[in-house]
Amino acid sequence: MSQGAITALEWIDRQLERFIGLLAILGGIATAGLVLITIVAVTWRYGFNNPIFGIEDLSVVTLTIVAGASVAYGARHGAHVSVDLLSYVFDRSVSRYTDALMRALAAVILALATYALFAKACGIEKACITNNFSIEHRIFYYFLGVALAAYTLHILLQLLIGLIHFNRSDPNEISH
Amino acid sequence: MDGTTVAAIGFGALFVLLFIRMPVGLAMMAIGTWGIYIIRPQAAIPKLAGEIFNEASNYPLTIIPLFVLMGNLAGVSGMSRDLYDAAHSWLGHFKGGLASATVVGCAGFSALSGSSLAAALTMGRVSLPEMQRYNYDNGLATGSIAAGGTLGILIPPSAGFVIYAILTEESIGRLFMAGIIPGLLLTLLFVIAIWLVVLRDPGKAPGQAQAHPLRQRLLALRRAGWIVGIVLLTIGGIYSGVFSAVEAAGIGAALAFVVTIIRRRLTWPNIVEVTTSTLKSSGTVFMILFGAFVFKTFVGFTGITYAMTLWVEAQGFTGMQVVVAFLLLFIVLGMFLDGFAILVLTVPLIQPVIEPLGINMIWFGVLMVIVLEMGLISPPVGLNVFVVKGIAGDVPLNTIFRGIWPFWFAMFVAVILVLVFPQIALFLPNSMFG
Repeated sequence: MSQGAITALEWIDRQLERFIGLLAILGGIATAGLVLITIVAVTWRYGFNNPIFGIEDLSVVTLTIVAGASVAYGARHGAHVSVDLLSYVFDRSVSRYTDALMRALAAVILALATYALFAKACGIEKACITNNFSIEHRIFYYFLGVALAAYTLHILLQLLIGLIHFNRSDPNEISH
Repeated sequence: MDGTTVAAIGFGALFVLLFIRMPVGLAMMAIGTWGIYIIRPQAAIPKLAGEIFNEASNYPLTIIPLFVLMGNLAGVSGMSRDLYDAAHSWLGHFKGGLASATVVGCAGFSALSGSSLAAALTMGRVSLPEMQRYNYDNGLATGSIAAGGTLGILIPPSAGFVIYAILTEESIGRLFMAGIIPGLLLTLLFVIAIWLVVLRDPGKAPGQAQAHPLRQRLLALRRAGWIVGIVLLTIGGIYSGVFSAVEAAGIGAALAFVVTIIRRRLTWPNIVEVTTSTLKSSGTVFMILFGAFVFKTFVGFTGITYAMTLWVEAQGFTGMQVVVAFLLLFIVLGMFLDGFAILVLTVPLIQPVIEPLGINMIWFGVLMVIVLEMGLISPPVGLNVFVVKGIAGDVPLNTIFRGIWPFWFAMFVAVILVLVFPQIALFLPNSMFG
């Protein structure tokens, strides 16, 4: 692969790092928000004996942001669980092929999930809104789609980096 | 192609994807989507989007980021260190006392964090240097950390129980309560295992800390009062029916946050550390659940669970026989697969088979989680062992695995006790309010 292509990959990688960093900030704020919503709900219910109608809706949409952000951030930082039996059986001469195949398949399913979240948002729901405050779900489907798109791009970058390092050790190889 | 054949091909393909190291959640999502497409093509894409959204917005799952946050705040605020110090001051002067203190510290930390890895990592960093200072055998020292850490998914709050509850539609609060007595029992069995190891070979724990005066011990206990208070409030709140499990998680996280502020540990690096750790741990769970529910839908479409139920009925097996068979299967699977992977792969298949046989799913959940704990320390893929290896870089992996066995057998004894005396698991959930 040419030096120009490698530089381009590094640039994309840096931008992805920044973007997922932004998602992480959003996820962190949403996590704090979840704590706050719970405290408010409990305080009003027990402290003022006046439960807030439908506050669960706020928790649910906030949780969607935490879920999306955490999946994207977790992908970037190797948090997603894999089972590594392969390295007990085969060495790098085999795992470089299986890793390339695995990443290609992973990118396909992630791209499909991203497409599904954008194209079929609210596809199987009768009412695409929360139960009490009628907050529309669609935007949160899109947010999850964006998070999975970031994961897809991350996997594609790993695939390309793995191919560049095909005859050497792979910096992203899963191992103990 | 009939449903059973599609299911068999799906499971085969899933194991191939797992073998080539595809993340568990993605592998299940891929096979689930493929399977749904084969059976009902028009449902595949809408189901994929729908299941991801349903899990991301599943209210009971709010508990995951909140309890993870609470555990992480306990770590940076120094509460976990206090807990170890208290256990150390009360147990450290006994033979093998530092290893026992590690296990008790892990049990205490587990009551604030639902993660086995976090418990092993947090307590390991504190206790390993201390055990090495007193020339403890490396196998015993690292084994006690790895095993103690596994208590994280048994003692509530537990990520394992949350996932099990979501998959089986059981109450999270009742499952949490069901984990308490078996968790304490297992802690005791671990301490007995340490005592037996040291009794057999005193050279494994040659040194012991000096006995602390009573006043110092009480002071150490007082310092651990914050963590004890938070645990009592959250777990007690669930038991008494005052809080739901989600509310308890939110209150626990808020209290841990307040303690962090009081102790002036809310620095920018700590905020970043806590936030990123919380997101990583939550992301792990959510990704697995996204895949698990797409896969569960596929399994439902194939009708394989119905076929399995008919087969079990035809054989005339009793509920206990089936439970024991599944537990043995989990022990074997635990040697090769991650615990969460086993949970999400097998529960959708097993529940329809064992429920009609009259098996209590809360009791089975406890048994399953203990067996999954065994997987966390079983060679060759025991995750906790690799976490401990990360802390104890100079200790060979073989030494850690050798040190694990007494604890593995302690877990086996716990499984037998809970099997024979279901009340160990069921007493608290049956007596809880609300």
